Amino acid sequence: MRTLHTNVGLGVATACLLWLTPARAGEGEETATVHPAPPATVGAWTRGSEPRRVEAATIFDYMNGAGELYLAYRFHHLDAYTYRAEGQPEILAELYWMAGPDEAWGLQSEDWTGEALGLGALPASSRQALYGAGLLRLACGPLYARVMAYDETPASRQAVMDLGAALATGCVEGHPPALVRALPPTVTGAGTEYHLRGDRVRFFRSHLVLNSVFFLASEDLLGLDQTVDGVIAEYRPDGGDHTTRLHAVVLAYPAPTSAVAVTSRFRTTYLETPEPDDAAAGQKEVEDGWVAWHRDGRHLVLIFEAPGQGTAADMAARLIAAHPTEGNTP
Amino acid sequence: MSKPPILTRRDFVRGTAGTVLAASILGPSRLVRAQDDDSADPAPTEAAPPRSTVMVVRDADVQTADKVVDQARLGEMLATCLTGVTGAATAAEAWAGLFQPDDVVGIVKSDFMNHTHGELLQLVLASLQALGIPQENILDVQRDNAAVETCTALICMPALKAHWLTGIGTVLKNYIMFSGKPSAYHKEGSANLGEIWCMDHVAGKTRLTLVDALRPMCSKGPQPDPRYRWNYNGLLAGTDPVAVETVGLRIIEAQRELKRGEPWPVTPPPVCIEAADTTYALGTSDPDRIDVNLVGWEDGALL
Repeated sequence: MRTLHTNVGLGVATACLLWLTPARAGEGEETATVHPAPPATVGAWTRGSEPRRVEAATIFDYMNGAGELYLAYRFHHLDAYTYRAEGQPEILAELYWMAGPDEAWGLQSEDWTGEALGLGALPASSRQALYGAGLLRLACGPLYARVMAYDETPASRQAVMDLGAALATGCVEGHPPALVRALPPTVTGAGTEYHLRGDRVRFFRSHLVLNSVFFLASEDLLGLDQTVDGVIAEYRPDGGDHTTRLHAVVLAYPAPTSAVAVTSRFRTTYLETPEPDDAAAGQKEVEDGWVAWHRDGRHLVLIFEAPGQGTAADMAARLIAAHPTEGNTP
Repeated sequence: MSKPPILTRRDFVRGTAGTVLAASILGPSRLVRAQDDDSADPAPTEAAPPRSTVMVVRDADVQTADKVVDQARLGEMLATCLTGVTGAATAAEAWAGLFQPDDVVGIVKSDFMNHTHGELLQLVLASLQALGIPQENILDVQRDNAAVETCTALICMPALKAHWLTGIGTVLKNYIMFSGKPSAYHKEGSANLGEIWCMDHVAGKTRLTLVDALRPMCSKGPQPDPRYRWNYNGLLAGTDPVAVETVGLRIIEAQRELKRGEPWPVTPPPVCIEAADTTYALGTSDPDRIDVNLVGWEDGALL
């Protein structure tokens, strides 16, 4: 049994669209081929010889419920390195090895704010490396990295930057998931142009992640899992604000049958249509505006918070048309 | 037996979230029974519902820009919290009104995302010892169910933060490890966090909720992002954990709005707060029944 001890001395323990531009690397290509182990020393900091290896079965031991985020994508393992220097804050370098670039992009899409860095061959405009207040986040091929100094000092900032540069060795500018690349930057709905907010685009595979951006329901209404690609994006009219925005959700299922089943469930549960027909598209007014659904093949588009039926229908139709039904392997 | 209803976005917009929440937690059959019981009550009482007080004590100089905490100022803030919560004339009397020398006191601190400051823990430890409680009877019980069993009293001492699965991850979620199955209280189960406070080894033991709001985290994580921490320089305290959580949420959401320049409510909605009130009767989540007593630095209080 632990009596209470305090560790006072330890301080704190433990509407740009540029990064949505098409791929520089080829479709499906791993964008990073070289991932050296992080350097043994950086500035005054030195790390231990071996990382702490965390796998899916042990991730909750490492980070409690935060592990759900990584398991919501195709997580392989995590290597965590701690750097220490006399009289300086610790730096934690966490290297999340994911199944592919889409997963790392999805994690990066949690928050597009921060200082965009150009590291090695990565241009700042890619926003694959973002920094703020001691934390650097990097998406590089299947690697998603978080490098954080527990306190930002000029020296720790430089060390974090140097670590980031080392991790980015061999990285080239990648590309967003196919579902994201297909999002039109501007969509006209009932005569009004709506513009994509590039900083409000999130790629997901889990309703937990969706709900952390846009709460839909306490249960998974959309049949999400690691075989499903999903993106939620915010569109606003010129001069619009949070009161005039609308949200678009685009989903790609492994097979059209899944899209059909999900559409039916969505209409029954969310739109409260007792016995929905098999219409591929439709709209309904609910408490916070018009909702539209539009299904084609294995794709399903949902529009939320539209100001009118025409806007909802137009937006859904335009977005579904942007996603070729077959032969599009995200 | 029918399946419990699903809580959707629409329920929040049309104001039916509470009903759906209760049904989804209790289950439809139990909800019907509860309603029947209510309707059978021939003489409903008309007493005014109880009010709760939450102390918000702030000092602009309790820490430097470099986050060095002034222990003396923090001690004064803690004393103000205690006298405000209890109505006692002095901090010593306040502590004596809440705890006895023969108590075994469990301290439940935050140890992830943003930690409860060691300086605050040290002050609480010293206060309890000054009351005559020996150090071996003041336990760090976070993640230690066996220790909680032995405690006669608990102090809930989380740091203020949002949370990506439950909306807010401060007071109610602070006891999640006492459930023995924390993953059951993530996802759809997060509304049930109040249930843990009603478990036999926990129920009725929490005599003080003291939230470290020196440097809260207004992003939901799930991992720390220092850009979303700021020097609020405050402590929140009360004997009603739900009321303290409600006030903490107000501060978090106000800071999020400042960061983004437009409303940025936490999502998923922190349904655990309303459920803790209406389903588990742990306190009040109704802002109209919470008296917030702000003492000290007013600038940026976000109340």
